Amino acid sequence: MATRVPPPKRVKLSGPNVPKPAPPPTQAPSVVVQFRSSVDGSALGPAINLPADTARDGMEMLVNKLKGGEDDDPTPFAFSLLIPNPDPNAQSTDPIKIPVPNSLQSDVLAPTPASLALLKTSIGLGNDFALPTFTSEDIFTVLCEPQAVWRVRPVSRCSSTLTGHSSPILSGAISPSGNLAVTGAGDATARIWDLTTELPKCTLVGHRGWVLCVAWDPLERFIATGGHDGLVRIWDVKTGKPVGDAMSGHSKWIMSLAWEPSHLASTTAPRLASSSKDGTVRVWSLATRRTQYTLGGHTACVNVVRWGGDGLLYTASSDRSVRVWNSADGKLVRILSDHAHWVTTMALSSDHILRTGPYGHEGKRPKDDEEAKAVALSRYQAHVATMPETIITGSDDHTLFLWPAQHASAAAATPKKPLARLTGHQKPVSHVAFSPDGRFIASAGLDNSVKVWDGKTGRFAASLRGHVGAVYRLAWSSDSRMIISASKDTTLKIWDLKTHKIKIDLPGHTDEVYFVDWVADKVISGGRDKSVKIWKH
Amino acid sequence: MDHEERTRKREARQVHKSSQYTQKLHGLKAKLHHAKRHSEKVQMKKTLKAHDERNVKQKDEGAVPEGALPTYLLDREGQKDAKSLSSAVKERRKDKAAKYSVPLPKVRGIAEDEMFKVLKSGKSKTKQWKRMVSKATFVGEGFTRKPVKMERFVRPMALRYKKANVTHPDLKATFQLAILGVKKNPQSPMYTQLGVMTKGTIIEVNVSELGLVTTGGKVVWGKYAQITNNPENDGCINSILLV
Repeated sequence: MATRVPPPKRVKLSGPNVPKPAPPPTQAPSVVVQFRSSVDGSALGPAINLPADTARDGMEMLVNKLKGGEDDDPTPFAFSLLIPNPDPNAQSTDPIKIPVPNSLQSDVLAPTPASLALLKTSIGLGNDFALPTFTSEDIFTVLCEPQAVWRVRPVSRCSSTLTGHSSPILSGAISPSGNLAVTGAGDATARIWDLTTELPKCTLVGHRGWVLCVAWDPLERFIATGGHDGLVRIWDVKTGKPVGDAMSGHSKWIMSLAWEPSHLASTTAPRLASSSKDGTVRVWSLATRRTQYTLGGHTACVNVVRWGGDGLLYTASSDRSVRVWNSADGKLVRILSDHAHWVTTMALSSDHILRTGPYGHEGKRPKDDEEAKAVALSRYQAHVATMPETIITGSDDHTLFLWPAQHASAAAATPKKPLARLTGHQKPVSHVAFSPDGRFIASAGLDNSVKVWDGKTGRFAASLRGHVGAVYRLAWSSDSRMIISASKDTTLKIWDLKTHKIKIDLPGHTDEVYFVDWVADKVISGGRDKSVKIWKH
Repeated sequence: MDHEERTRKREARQVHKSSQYTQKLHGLKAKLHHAKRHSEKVQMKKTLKAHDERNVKQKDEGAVPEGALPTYLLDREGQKDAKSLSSAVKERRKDKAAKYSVPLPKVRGIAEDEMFKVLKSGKSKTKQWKRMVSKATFVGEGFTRKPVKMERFVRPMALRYKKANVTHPDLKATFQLAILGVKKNPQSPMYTQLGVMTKGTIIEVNVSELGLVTTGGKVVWGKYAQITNNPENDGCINSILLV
């Protein structure tokens, strides 16, 4: 017998919960708009008939099309309406500019009383000023001011190859301001290079085993290096001399280092966290150069440690768990254990901001440490306002997990449950990184591909294929438009986020490339061929 | 005989003479002589050892080891480039011959009289066509015996196993997982059909509790494992997961 559709439910006709019929939508009037450039007052295209409730985004898209679009990003605009001064007693006969942040309908034709009052005070008009009534035949003159959009130039050439190390180069980092870089190699030395003159600056000798990780202090005063011998050494940047003796305490080699963010650290006694193969993480205070506390609990090698900007420490380990700790006293906050294999890589959404500290893209240098701390704090708060600090972890089980914000103030309902599981890699994930604005995530795998995912939801965006060997590391450009990836096949490739294709291919290394870093417009890379290459535009 | 010849011969004889003297001595003289001789011997041994060490090459304590690797490649089995070509050729040859690498490639052959026990049946117990399996077996969920009169292979309940201890080779962790089926017994396809599990048998186990996921996002719930012990001797099935 065929299934029958159930009879329709009876609808309530009266009572408190009866749904009211929706009010008919009011039609916004059509207006004629003439866009003019604010630079020289010239007309940008002919006068156009628009509905008055066109939003600012719509008007922006229209102006970009009228200007004759390039394929690059559309320029954002700020719009304001020019009306002749209706007050006959005014001193000047200049037209008044009324800013139009939302749409002509909501700001000019039918403004709410609150916004009208705000408008009067902002322009500085008297209380008896009233917007003139507009007819449908008036031509609205709208001024368009392009907002500043900064871009990073892609690097295209190897500007110099620096030799000096006598062993494969294992790790490296460019300083937060982009002037210096330090590289650590298997010959137990680290070297500081000057990127503006492209010459070596000094050699940091002291380790007894390979220098496995290097980390810059966010205020560029110190460099921390961790070695295969289990020692952490601090070096002064200006002189290249070690600051005191090595800090020992770990029984096996150091896997990663993380400095306390500059807006949290005290300027005289910054703190440093080091994670090691012996399963512990030690937090050192530079004032005493002793361990302040040790984070035990992991039962296997702690692969990555990251210091978040909200006072939380994140550690990822080969015992398949990620732990969140309170950085003030070292108490465990949470254990996130959803991975099925070793968790080898982790990234924070605020990584870029914490790493660059007070050095923004404007190129302003803070005068002293206190000012640097204040600038770093304001930059961090501006970033976290748009996107709370989330973590992404990648593992040998070929997947990544995107976790919700762990800080107490973010107050996610279930902070232990991951937001998304990012599947798609066919071999272990080697590196993962958030874009500097936090909108995208890029992950590099040993299956020769780089995958791009959405930063908020974890949805897959694109797969970037082109490498013929495992991709070891990747780095984002500071404007979040390009990714550079270093691979076992000795090449570096720059990928464009708009087209998801290779923008520039950078061959040149003669052996596997183990690390790459991109700050401002300089790229540094090094690998098994014992040479450091600096790439510029 | 000239002077050199005579001195040479005298020195050669000294060895025997001093040995004779040392053995014949007694009393306090002997003790003093032995003490002196002992210190001489110690010195001689030191010199000989120093000469020996001159030829032997020692590892330099201060040198750093070769083969530096970054942190993300440590503890992984890397492949040296010289071997990669030959191993690629070997891989291709193996694929052509349809050989798959398993942890136990060769297993001991098991004779039929070791595997089965003859069951005598019939009125005067002369018929010998029934066999009882003497090794561990796996029968599925809805297994029902054949009618007893027509059952040729008897699989006793005591030797039926449902769970196996499976070790993950990288994590070195062991989990107890349910067996889904016997995939291949290297002894004979007949044993595979019967569900007999001996050392080297490939079984399929339920891995949903491990949390593995395919590239498409689907949860992996069955994987192969190879048995590494003799279950009939131990009473349990130990196996290693084939990843």
